[in-house]
Amino acid sequence: MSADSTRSVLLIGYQDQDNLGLRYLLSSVRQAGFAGRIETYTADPGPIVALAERLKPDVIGFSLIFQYMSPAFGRVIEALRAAGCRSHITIGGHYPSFDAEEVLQRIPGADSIVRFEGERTLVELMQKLSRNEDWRGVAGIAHRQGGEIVVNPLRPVLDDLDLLPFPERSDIDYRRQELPMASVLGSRGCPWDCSFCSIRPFYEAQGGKLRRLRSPAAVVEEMRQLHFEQGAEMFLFQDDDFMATGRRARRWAEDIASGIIAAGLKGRIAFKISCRSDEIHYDTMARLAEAGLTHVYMGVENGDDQGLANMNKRMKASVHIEAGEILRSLDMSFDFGFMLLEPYSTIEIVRNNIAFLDRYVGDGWTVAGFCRTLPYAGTPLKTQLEAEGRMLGTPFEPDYNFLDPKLDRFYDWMLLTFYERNFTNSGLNEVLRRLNFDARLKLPNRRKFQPSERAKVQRITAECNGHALYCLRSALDYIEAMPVDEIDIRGGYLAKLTAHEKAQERRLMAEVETVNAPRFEWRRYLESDQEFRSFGGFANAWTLAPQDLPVAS
Amino acid sequence: MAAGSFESRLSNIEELCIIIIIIIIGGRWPGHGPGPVGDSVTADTSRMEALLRLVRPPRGDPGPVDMARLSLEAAEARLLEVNAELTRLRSHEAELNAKVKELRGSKTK
Repeated sequence: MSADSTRSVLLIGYQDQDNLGLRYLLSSVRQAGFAGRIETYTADPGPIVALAERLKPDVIGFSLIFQYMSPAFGRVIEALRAAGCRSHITIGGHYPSFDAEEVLQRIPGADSIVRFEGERTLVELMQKLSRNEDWRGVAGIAHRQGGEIVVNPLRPVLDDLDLLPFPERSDIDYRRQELPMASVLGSRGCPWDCSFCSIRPFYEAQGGKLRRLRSPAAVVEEMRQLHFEQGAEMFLFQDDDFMATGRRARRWAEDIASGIIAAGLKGRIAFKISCRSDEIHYDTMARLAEAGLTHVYMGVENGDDQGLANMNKRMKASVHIEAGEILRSLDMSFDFGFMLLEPYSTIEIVRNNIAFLDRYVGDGWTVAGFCRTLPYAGTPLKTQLEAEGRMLGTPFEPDYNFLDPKLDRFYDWMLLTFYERNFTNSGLNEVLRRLNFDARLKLPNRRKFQPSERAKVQRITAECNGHALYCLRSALDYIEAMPVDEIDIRGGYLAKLTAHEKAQERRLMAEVETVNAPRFEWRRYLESDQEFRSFGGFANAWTLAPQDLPVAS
Repeated sequence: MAAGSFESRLSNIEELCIIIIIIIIGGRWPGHGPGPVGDSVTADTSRMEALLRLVRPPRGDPGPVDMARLSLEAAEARLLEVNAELTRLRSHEAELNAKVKELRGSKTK
């Protein structure tokens, strides 16, 4: 390559689940002949400033995944500039891609934004900088010029994902992990147009196909290398929707399954995918299970047909139930995203959602987590709420009120009651989610849960779900019956419900401690004092100000 | 008959006295040599209750709640308790069903 290998980039971001975005960028930059490394983002700017002073990289790239983290990233960049850092600082990720002007205005230390798919844009930016050429014309960036923010035209999307080098992972030692777990991407994009999601607008912006598939052979080869050369045993497919695009996707998925088996990985590895409920077909899932599929994350989102229509999900709630039955019949663990409330919720829809959760996971196969929809940047929902004059909050932390003020009260109560359960690492939702995953994980050289142990985990999960759903139902009934001005979410009956729920959680957590599975992954989270590493923005799906958040009891 | 009743009552009183003495001295007679310190008297309520049950056997389920006299707060609190118990029992039933299935399966193999 003609590039100068003494020129370097320092990429900074969260590294949970490998952060493939950064790793694809790094491999592309290295392929182009530049040096580079990845460093974990820390809210304390000290370590990043010290590293930048030592390495003096030409470019520092921040991976800003979570919208609400923008001010914190801004503080780190400010500290870098205050320390005299002269590197070109750029930011990429979903949020800055959509709101580049906002981000550049609020983070004056940043020189540019790399918008949307960033591999080729970052490489070209580095090439221009290394040759001391004017970089301001690089397609796909936004930058400052004479006090103005300039947003350049985007470059066309890369049609063939197989042209990208495998993500750079040489710094990861999977063998040292309790459960060696690597992330893989088989595709990019999703054709569905759910109102709350920005995936389709993200990839649509650059044109091209709404979902691009890597060849199954390339995907399997990457898995083979990761397993035999780096010791990975568990693979997390980070595809936006692993099964999207109908029959074509099913054939593609089955080809990957066949490839895994042909490569001798069957019985040696396990993997997880994410998809929609209406893409769960028994034959395909059975074939994937044969190859090692152990866990499915489903974007369930709502359990009421009107609620699903409000979200433009284009499906019926009964399909979720059928998908759950298929996965149960294949003895797979699953979990799901669920938005109990969305901007067009009514009390009836919320009540139906609670009843749905009882039908769906009342047996404790998995834990029922729930939140509300937030209108993130780039989503059709944000556009819709803006048109209706309902957008509140800040650009970094969007908010809205429900159409029925009683639901605002219900949501506030829900927040006070379930914040700890649903959105902390040590909360029952996360602990049981991981425990259920472990309970059905089938990997060689790992102790399997005995049937009685699995039954115990399922019983604890069923209880956890049962108490939560009862409290939700009771609170909703109470709030519906009361005049809105007399609803006290911190006192009276609602406070008793909160105390009741928390007491049940404490009791169940003590029971979880007795599950005889000391070597399993979930225990690390019980013992961890870290905050929200794997949760990212979900924690801030609750939009109360931090001082209003309930204190752990 | 009357004498028998008197003897029976006397026996109960004697038994109770012995129990109280045992609890107070913590199972050790005076002059017990050095050794592990026994439970304190106050901490031993569960043993006391167990022993008292020998003297006064349980009378079965508690009486029904007087619904007519329940305040709103008390009814709400009782409802929470009842629901928590129902949830526990339903989950426990499912766990037991799984255990029975497991045991029957291993028996037929």
